[in-house]
Amino acid sequence: MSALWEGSVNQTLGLQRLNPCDFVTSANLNRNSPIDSFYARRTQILALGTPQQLGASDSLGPLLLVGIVSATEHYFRSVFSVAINICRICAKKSADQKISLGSVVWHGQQDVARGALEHLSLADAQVIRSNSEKFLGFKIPNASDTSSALDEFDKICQLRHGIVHNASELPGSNAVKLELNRSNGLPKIKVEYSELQMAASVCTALIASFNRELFSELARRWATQWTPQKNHAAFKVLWTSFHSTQDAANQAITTPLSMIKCRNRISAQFS
Amino acid sequence: MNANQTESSAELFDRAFVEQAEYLEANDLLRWSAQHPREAELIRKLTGGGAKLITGPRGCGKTTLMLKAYHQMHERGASASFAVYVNYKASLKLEPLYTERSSASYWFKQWILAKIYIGLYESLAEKNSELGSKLGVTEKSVKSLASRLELGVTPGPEQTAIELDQLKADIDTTIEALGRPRCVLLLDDAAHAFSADQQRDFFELFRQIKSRSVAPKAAIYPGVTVYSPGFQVGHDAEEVDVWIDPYSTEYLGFMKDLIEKRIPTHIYRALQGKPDYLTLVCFAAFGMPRALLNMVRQFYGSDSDDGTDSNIDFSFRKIVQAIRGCHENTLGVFEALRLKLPVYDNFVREGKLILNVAYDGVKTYNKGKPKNSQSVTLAVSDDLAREVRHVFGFLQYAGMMRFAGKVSRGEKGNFDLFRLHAAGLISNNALFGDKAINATNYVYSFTHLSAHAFTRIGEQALLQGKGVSECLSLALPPCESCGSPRLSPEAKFCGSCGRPLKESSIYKRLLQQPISVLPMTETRVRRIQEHSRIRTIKDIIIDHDGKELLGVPRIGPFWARQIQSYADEFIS
Repeated sequence: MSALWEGSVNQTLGLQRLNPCDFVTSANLNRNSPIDSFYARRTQILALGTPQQLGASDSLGPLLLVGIVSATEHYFRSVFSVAINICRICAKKSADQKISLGSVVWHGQQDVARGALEHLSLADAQVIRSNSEKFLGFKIPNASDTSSALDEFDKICQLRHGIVHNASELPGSNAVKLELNRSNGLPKIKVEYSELQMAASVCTALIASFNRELFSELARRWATQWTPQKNHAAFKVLWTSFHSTQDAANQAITTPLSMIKCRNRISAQFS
Repeated sequence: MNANQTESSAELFDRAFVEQAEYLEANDLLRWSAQHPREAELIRKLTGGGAKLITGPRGCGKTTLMLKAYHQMHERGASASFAVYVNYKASLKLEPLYTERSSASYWFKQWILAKIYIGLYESLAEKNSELGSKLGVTEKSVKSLASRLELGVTPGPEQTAIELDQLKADIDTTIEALGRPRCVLLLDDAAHAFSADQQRDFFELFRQIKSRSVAPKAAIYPGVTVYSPGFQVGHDAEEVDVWIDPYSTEYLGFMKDLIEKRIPTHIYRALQGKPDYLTLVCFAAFGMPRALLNMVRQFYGSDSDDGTDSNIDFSFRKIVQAIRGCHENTLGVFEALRLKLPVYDNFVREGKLILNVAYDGVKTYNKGKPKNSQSVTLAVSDDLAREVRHVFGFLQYAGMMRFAGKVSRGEKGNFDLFRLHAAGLISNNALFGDKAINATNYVYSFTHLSAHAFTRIGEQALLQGKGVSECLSLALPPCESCGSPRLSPEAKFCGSCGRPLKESSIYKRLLQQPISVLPMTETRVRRIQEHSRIRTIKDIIIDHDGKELLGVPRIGPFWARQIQSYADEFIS
């Protein structure tokens, strides 16, 4: 008589199969700038978390926070790809970087820049800093808005790590990085309404500052280093890749200018 | 008396009534300030090691003590700590950065450090020391950085960052070279009361700067200070209350000494001729020298620049008028919170009603009681709702009441005691229950208080039967884009349209306020409006040399400076 003890700890299930195609659908062609795409995703995610819903569930908040970080990562991949495509200096800088063969096979030569950062997790402030320099030749200055915003974003990334990899229990190494006081019991990550709003606000501030600062750098290159210099068609691509129609509609842009006025001001400054 | 003599006498008159210690010359400060009843102990805490938080409402003498400690350390030589005085009064000027820049926190901390360097340079200059040339950053660069940030301009990447470690190393080098045991940083006006972000950043830096050789002392307000996460009062810094207890035995001597030092002898003698009136005015100041000087100023001389003393009016009518004015001024500080923290509009409105309930309660309690059993104290349960406690915090910030300890009443529970502002008690005639105010009786009761006489009022009664959520909700502005109400005070994005909810700058809002919010008579406000282009607080601030104000009839150099200091005070 065989000893059937192997099945004594939990249930037994048959083969569970999935078809990846069921999980994938065609995305609509997105003509928004990366920053506007981020805004749209953020709005969709936040709409899922009212104070009541987030107060009633331990799981919803952490999952939505992961969604916000994912939208942030997506922004960076998109904007890096745009920059590599439109700026020869970025293209030159990224020429030395490695890319996975799978990315090239999938995206093809035309859209290879999109795969440039596929092998990297951008849910890490340091990775964003170093790759901005490696791929775009754009060093984020220490005293800049982006630098400060990255410091705050990194705190969210530490929390995200615990949510994604440890079922919302905060690993010790992340707790130390967050300079939390040691307490009794395992630290559990709590994301309710105010925390989710705060996280979304930090990600928004990071993207708004990086978008503005990278645009300034590329505009300077457009006026002084791109060939041909100060080409209108090139500026139009640059402008549409960085300009936020949502911010413009909300009257949230500090210096609202038309594309032409902005181009002329840049030209005049670097004449 | 020739013209020059008249001028110098007028100037002396004006200078004697400069109420804020930071505007006094060092000699005047030492000559005109009286000895705080606990001065030796407080100066020891301010000149010794360890981090301290100096608490008290506006005008209670925090700056005077800090400046006295500063001068004492400079005069005592090698055995004393090396003193650096820094005034953070202008901190609200940097508050707009928090609504505009992600790097606001970085720049605010740079400003705090730059101001410490400026103070360090000033202290070295006072000692005629050459050590300034050895510091890691130049005086010119820190001054330029601080003034640019105060104008709201953030420098570009070419600006060299001021590192905290560099500052600490520079301080260590300085005290070693001067043979001093430590450096005391006297950080005045450091409450940053209207910007929680600034408070958090300040206290984070305050904790980091504290070391064996650096002893920071920060002047803060009671009731409204928010510390950074992890900052523990008691552990990270000791709290030192410098607000003089108006019912302590030394109080009257201190206040009378202060007046005697500030005003001409013959006038002081004239006031002394009516001892009950003088004592009542001292009590009405409720431990705040600034309030006392303000009242005394009304008893002689007009509000012109004329320094003559020919028109002394120390009548009963006049003192009651001055006391009511003092009460209204203090209430004005409380009411100004509506402008400074509009989200707490309901708290301020309800706070005034709570005060009325308190005065009525005290009045009812006192009616028919003997003179030595009159109550000046409110007792409230120590488990008041968080919102009501917040209101009490605001009232303490304004100086409308002061915490006076705890008392246990067995089964009835534990109570927190709050002394009500004496000018408020007098103005509301809350003692004895008589129709008219009797100065002699009030003075007797104030000097013969019973420790057991307090008026207990429950939360329900304070709120007049209303629920906390009903009357003490935050006044949250709706979404500017779609008009939907905010889902919660913590909301950063509209729950309806998803757009970011805009946060307006407190500083910018204050600058746009009309000049009528300043403590000036309607006539003076009208005269300024008719004879100058000044309409808002901003107009006064940018008229830094007082040119516009000096063009207004009956406004001379003294009042021009006084109005500018009102405006400065309003935005600090």
